[in-house]
Amino acid sequence: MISYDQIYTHLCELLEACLDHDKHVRPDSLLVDDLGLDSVQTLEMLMDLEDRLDASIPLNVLPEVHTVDELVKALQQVVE
Amino acid sequence: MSIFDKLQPVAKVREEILASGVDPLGVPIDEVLSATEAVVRGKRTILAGSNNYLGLTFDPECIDAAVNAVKNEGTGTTGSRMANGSYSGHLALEHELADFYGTPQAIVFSTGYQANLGMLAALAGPRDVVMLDADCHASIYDGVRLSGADTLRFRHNDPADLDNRLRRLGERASGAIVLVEGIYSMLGDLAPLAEFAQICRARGAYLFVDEAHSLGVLGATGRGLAEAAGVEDQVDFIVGTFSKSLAAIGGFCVSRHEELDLVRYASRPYIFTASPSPSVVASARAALARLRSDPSLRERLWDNSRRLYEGLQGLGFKLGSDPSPVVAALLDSREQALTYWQGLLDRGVYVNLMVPPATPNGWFLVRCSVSAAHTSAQIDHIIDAFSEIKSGR
Repeated sequence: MISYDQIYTHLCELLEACLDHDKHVRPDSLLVDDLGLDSVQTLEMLMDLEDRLDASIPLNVLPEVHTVDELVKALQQVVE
Repeated sequence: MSIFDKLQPVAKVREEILASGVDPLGVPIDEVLSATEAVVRGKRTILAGSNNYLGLTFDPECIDAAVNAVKNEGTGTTGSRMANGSYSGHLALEHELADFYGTPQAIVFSTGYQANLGMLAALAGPRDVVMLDADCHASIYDGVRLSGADTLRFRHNDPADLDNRLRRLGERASGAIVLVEGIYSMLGDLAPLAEFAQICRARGAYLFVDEAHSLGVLGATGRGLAEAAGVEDQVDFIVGTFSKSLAAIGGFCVSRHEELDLVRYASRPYIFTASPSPSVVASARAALARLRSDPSLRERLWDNSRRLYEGLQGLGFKLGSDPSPVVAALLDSREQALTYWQGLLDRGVYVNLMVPPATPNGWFLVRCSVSAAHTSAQIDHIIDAFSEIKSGR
């Protein structure tokens, strides 16, 4: 089973690769308002994450999550 | 706090575009002169982004059919086929589409957008999986969302990536719906459909193809990419539109599955909307007949497409795909794209400006679509306009 920390680490790496350098990812960062993630970046990041975790992550998880922490928890449930 | 606050990001982008002095999303058309020309802000302008692939919007047979239908059946149906009945034109159009594709039946929808919405919402449910090409049209994304199915994406036009993602699904891959398009509207590129069909067959997935931009364009008889790739017997659902090659508005689905008719009773976008107007149905039928009987339309379309493609390629533009009726020039920035778009309009050429997030990979595009009705002189005028802007003339 993959841990919260493992998913969080992957997510931070992917986010930092696509965000402006002045954005710092924290668990309570809002994906849109704080990090400025747009819809296309979000979809691409999810696809990259599927490849890293070798898991299927439906887009359906997205409407319910607003922060990095919420996304990691949602992904943990899906990957399990 | 206002209900409109959430639209502020959109407002910001609009302000940035308008600040450049250009409004590419609100161009007033003063008068339409033909399938390929209009008067825009008082200037005679070539229409080079209208998806009017076969140029049939002013075809005399299509116009006569529409006029007669208005006179005989009125201006609208004023309701759903479930409530107001099916006009003879609706039934005839469905019969003619099924005959054209060699399928047991067809369903007609009021728009192409609703065809995807209606089919996907009815076919897929919360326990199903749909796997869509990342560059699929918004109507496909919206249809899948309406269905409630688990939604996964695969990398655009990448059969190996599709296969890998279906593998991850395990047993759920069997019965999944894979969604692709024939020709992609932004860049004009074609799906590697034979490879996708082989993967779907091996994994037990259904294959759903949107031929909106390929009907009348590809295939020996104009049925689209599935025909051109020789895999019609392996495609489960084909969706198309009347608003491009058939020069009207509306959409349809054909399927080799006898159960297709059940969709009518489960598809809210089919049930809860007014059926296509008699004139629209009549002109679409006439256009389909023209498409079937006159292959020279397709030949002219491809001659014109190659002429424009080679002209722009010769000028050094980076283009989005191999030659196709969608010819998209990839530019370096929004400002450069706006400069080209406005420069073309100033020179009497109206094309499409496409910017992120509507474009794949964050590209800035000036997108042309070619018509069989364009003359060689019009195509050369478009090329010359690009050349003038490039050279700063």
